[in-house]
Amino acid sequence: MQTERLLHSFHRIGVVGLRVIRQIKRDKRTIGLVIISPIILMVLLGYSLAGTMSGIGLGIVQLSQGTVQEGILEDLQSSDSFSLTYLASEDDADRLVSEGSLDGAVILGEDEIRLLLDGTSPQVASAIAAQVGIGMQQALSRILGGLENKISLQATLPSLTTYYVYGYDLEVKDSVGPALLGISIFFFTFLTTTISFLRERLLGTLEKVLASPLSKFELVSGYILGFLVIAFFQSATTFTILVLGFKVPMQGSLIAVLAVIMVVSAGALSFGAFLSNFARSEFQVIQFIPVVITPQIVLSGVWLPLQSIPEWLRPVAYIFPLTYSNHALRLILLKGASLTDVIYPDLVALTIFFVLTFLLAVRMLQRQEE
Amino acid sequence: MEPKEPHVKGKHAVFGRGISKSFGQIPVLNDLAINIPKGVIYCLLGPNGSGKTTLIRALMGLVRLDAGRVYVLDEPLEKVNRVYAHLGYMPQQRPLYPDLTVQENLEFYAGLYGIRGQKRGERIKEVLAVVDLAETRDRITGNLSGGMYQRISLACTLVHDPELLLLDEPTVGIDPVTKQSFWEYFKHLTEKEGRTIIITTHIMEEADRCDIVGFMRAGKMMAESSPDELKNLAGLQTFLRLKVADPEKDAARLRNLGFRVEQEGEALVVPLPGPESLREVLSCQDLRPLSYKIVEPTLEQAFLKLAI
Repeated sequence: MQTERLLHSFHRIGVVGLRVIRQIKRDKRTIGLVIISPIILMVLLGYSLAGTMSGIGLGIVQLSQGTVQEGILEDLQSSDSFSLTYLASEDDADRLVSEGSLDGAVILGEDEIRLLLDGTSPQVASAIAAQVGIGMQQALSRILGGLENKISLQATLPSLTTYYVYGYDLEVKDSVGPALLGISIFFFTFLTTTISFLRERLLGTLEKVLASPLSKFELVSGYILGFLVIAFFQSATTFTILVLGFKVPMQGSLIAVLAVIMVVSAGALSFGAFLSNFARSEFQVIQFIPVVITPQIVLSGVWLPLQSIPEWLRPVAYIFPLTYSNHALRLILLKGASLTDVIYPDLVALTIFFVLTFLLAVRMLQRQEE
Repeated sequence: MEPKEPHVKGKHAVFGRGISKSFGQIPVLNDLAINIPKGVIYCLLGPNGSGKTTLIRALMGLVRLDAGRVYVLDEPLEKVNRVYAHLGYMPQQRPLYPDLTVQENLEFYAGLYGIRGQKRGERIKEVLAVVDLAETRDRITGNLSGGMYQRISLACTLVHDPELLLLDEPTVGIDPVTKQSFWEYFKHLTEKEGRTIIITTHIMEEADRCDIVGFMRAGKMMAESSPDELKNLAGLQTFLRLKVADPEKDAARLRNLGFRVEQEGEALVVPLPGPESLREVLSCQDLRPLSYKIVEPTLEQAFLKLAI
């Protein structure tokens, strides 16, 4: 009796499983996403994690042509990780690193090797410090190899000191925190908008609403207006947790943060409205996440600096809104940037993304069944 | 089937010729013609799959036709969006926002049509009274019963006082008492306020209540006429069923008056050709009916007889 009951139970489990397989078999979009999403994710993660850094902008101020200094310079020149810019003075180096035009600078003084680093990007700062350290080590090894009096050499070796342009050394959470603000806003706004539009389509309200004096432009605009209010409260909550809870520095202007958040939200909203045209169920909307959100998180410089992404893949990062959102929010929170500082390229790029996706969303909203 | 007259501006609510639409290889509307004058209740009648809903949706500009010349409120179909403010559409799906209250749903739909302020409040009150759901105003729509949901959907369709209503099976799932009040309201809208209503249904009894019936089958308009004209066309008449004590003698008496009489057991069946016929029969000398019943012909009988 017990065995029979168990067999019946297994049978019913099998019936449900078979139904699930049959349903998915007919859902070609989900099958496509299930196959393609992991491929995209693995490729992106694989290349990003396995790649070495390249394109780190490094300024060189050569005040001395001593053996150690030359050795360090040679080592930096032979490395593929750096894009070297030769500068006349330390003041130039300080200015360019402060502006963000360079990731760091090496001042090759006679008695002191000074590193000027941008503390807002710990991985890049570490890469510079590590390479200079290696260069110094190798130069010392070459010198020591041919010397009898090693003790007298020590007195003439330059010291290595590190200065952070922004005056402090940041933790990883401080560097990632501002980016997380942008990600959380983009992700949740995109998801809720896509599902909302889909629900309108499934309920039939979209059709009824479009068969009224309301235009498609007005519909999408109304959605953006409504969701921007939600996004404001959501970003206020996230921001408060980051700054008050996790003590992420807030050096810049609140207005600038708000402006970036609002433009990111608007872009996420219209992007969600656009993509909702391609989903027929909430299940399919969820499948969009690894295709739409994850590549942005991997490639926009949140966890890994852009310099660690292979050069052939790096241009892709510049089409993602999160790349600009991360950059702008880091500038504001960590470097004290104002609203005008983040207009170009960040706010301009985010606005272009918003306008393009808005137009696409309006265009794609179909009143008529073909 | 060709319409009886050409499109005349101001006369037709809907006018169409050569309407065709296929979904893939499946023809749904097949060279259909339609002619709906203003101020009537027009019923699109037909079995499931005959193309009624597709036609309604096409008239709302929600389905792109493959062919056809159509005017809705004198606007060509390609520009039907110009008259959206005057159209009220109630699809089969009954689209409401389940998370909003009844009041909020009505406010939303009223707002889409530019109805604001005091007028909005008055209009909402009116339409809730029409559907007899004033007490549900503050209830969450998703929690309403199916019948109530349907009635609120109709209210949302009426809230902007449209000139032309397109209602896809509006009385499905409604109790008979409410159904009767709906029909009374529809009659009021057309006869007193000059509105035009297009209703789709597959129920003959409902079509019988309309001013004009357009019978569709397999995407074609098979007949388009008033219910009485269709019954006359089928040769159907109202008749009287009389129960009498002496059927043979009473049948003879009525035949002498010129009536055709058929005997069915103890009952006599007498067609009534005119409005005075009933009085003539009942005032027949020496006729003492035990009981009588007037039987009206139905649309179903007409269609069956016409083999449409």
